[in-house]
Amino acid sequence: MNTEQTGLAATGEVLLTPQPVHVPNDRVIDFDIYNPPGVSGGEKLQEAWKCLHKPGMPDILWTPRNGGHWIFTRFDAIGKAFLDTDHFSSKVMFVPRSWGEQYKFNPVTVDPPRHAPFRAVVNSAIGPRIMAKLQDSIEATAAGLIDALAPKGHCDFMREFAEPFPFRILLSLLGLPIEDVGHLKMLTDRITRPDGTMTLAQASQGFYDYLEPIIAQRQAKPGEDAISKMVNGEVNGRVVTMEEAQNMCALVTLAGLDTVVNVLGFSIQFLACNPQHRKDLIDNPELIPKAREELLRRFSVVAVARYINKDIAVDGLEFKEGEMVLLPPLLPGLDDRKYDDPMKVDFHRDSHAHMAFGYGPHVCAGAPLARREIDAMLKAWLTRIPEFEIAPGAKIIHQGGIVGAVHELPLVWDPATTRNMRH
Amino acid sequence: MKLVFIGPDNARIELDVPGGATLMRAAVANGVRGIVADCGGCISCGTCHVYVQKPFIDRLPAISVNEEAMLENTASERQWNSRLSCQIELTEELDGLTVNLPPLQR
Repeated sequence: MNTEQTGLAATGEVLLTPQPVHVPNDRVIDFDIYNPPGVSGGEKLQEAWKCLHKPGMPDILWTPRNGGHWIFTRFDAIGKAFLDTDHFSSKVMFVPRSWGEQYKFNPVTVDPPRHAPFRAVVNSAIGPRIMAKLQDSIEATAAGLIDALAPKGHCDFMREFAEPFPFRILLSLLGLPIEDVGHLKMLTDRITRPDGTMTLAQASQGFYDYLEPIIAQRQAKPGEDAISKMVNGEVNGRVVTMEEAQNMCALVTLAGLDTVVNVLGFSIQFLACNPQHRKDLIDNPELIPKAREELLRRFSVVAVARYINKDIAVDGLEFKEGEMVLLPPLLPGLDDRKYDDPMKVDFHRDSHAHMAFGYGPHVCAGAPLARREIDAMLKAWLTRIPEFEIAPGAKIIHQGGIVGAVHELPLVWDPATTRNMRH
Repeated sequence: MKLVFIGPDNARIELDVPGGATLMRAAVANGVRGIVADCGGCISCGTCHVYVQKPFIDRLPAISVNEEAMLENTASERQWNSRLSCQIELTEELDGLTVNLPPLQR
């Protein structure tokens, strides 16, 4: 065994797992979701993942990284597996399996039929009905932040907009003080992009410890916030338990503090480099919903997995109980069998079907919020700062992970080209 | 069998489809944009909401506990004839089924 095989990844898993006998050699590829090929050296995240669609590459692959796991790469197969929860369970939904087994944030880790009543509780707190009513305040928050940035002529988009914008919306929705967001974001990042300083169980415990007194207080005296709705929700005729409440609230917090942040980052990185696309949206603001779906298709960021609950054969391959299968929501939108020229961003495509928010029973409950946040950003940013670019000399570095990330995104613009929308 | 979708702008889409599937599947397969169905028919997302016209509304099976909860959280307000189209199986007595599409699905 060489030294690399005996080493440990940031998740605590051995670097390379031996290939099981039932995995054919032609399916084996060296692919690490936490460090896709070239990404640490400056390769763009989605371009790095696109290597899994190279001509001649089989549709289903197996990698010795992260405990050893299968990878589905194509739109149809990933969609079908997300619906087949009998075989593809979300009771362990991250690789490596040893990392995913520490993750208990229900209802995403609970299979149907037990899942539905918990999902209904989450929907009652952050579902489409609630979000339709928040539209104006989401737009006002985006506008306020950008009005403050515009005269400066520069910013690190990640720290000065992509984070504070959804953070303010989420913390207000949850009824939590904005000062707490740094702690919650740190815990989130330790789960989605482990750095070796904390186990997933420790980061989860951080959420539970933070939430417990807040939940107890809101069970005693409910407010109008989303936490109050979740922790007083009923499943199967009883109120949710403290443990269920902690997990639901932790899930909504984690999901709202990371995924959308990075989608905003990737989208603005693209727009900074593509003035024609900016002009199209500025001239045709009614195009924003289509553009948002196209950006979600092209710049998906999530890499979740499923646990094989009982043996199943797919494509002539044996999947054995206990094995992990990556169903990366990042890939379906990039499938060349679904799209001509999938890496091209075209706001005028007929269809922008993607699985950026997953698919099946666990499709992202926060999608209605995320979609409104993306729309609000595009509208508010492009009307106020229509001309901007990446700071000269800056090298933009992406990060792999359960949620892919843009590390920093320094932008510059001439304040004389901005529009003051304040009256 | 015949299906009719009436958009919030009163635009009318008529389909002729084989029975057996769900109304949601028939709509999505035929490009009816007013039906989104983000979750693929699992009663998780509420984005295949329709308002079912008479007399068809009375021919549908009862609303399940899960559908009931989702209908309370759809983007467009629930009305007396709100249903999720993923829960409507296209049986023979629904030939001619006519539904109105809500202004907002998500």
